[in-house]
Amino acid sequence: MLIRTGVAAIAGFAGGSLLAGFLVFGPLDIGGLRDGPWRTNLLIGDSEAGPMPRAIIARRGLLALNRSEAVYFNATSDDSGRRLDEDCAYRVTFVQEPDSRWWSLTLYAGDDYLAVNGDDAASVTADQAAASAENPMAVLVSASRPDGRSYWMSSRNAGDFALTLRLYQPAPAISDDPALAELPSIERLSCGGGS
Amino acid sequence: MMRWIAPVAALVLAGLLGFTLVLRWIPGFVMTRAMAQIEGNGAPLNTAMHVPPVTEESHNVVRPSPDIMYSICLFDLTGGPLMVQSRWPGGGAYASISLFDAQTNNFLTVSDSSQPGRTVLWVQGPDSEAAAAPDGVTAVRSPTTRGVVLYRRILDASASLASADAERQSFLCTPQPE
Repeated sequence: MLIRTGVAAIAGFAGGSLLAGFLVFGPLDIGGLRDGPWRTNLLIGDSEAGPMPRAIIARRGLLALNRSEAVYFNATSDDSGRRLDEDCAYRVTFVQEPDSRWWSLTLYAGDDYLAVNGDDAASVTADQAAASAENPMAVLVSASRPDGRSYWMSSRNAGDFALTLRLYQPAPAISDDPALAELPSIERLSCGGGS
Repeated sequence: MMRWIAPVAALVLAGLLGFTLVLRWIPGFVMTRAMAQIEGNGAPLNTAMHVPPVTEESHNVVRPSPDIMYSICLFDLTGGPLMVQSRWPGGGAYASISLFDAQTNNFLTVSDSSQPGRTVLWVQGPDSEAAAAPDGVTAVRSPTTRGVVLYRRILDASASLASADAERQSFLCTPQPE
């Protein structure tokens, strides 16, 4: 009886430990509030975060600022809920610029780092938008460089990728309630090489 | 039936314990590993290192921004407080200094909005009995002895890469004797 209980305890401890490691270093994203395809976690950098969000944030958002200074929105799917995929082309449309001191939109490969493709097209920023004559501003996300487009982000070699929208010193209303932010739409245009 | 109650209870309780302990261990592990990697890349403790511009080869910390210039100071307050200082960029570009403890908590962020002109921080360890911070210096107590100070500077239209790099040389970490 005692041996059986001891073996069960060891198995349980090992199983629980492995499950935690698998979830954090595996499929779980930062999660948090949902706004269309975008999600943001209000607990980033916050000492009040519970063990699970803190572990996932450490894994996927280490050294990120807390929401009094910056709000990060992350998307891994398009407006229809389909996983963002380098084999597809997308149009990201800003009907309105994010209300913040500065913002940027960056594409990250499945490993949470910039895609290694030599295209030098990983992001679009507030400065480019300020110089834009487009209204609304539309960014093409695709694996091949298009002809004659102002705003392009390369998803080449990015696999199942993510888009991160950073808002530095957002309007107080957004810090208080990120769901109020006017966020860009992500529309899938085509898959399999056409854009 | 009765003979399985104790093993099943042990399995469930030990599973919950293992799950919780590993979750609580991960942030410190991730931070320690990142600090070791950064230190291995030539960043000495308690000294500012001005990181080269982010490229697709940058793998020290997840999700780096190619539009931000970073400087980093790994700190260990065992020997005494650390003075952290910087001037802010001209031209209105966003810059900030953020402090993280060994458990990944962002326990302080200052920027030109919160401390216009120039900032000087006096960072003490959790149990430090060092002398009070000099006048005009913002004192802050780190929840852990080790951690990271991160300087961010937006690369916007107001400055070239070279001028932004020159500006961030004012970001300094200087250990102070206890």
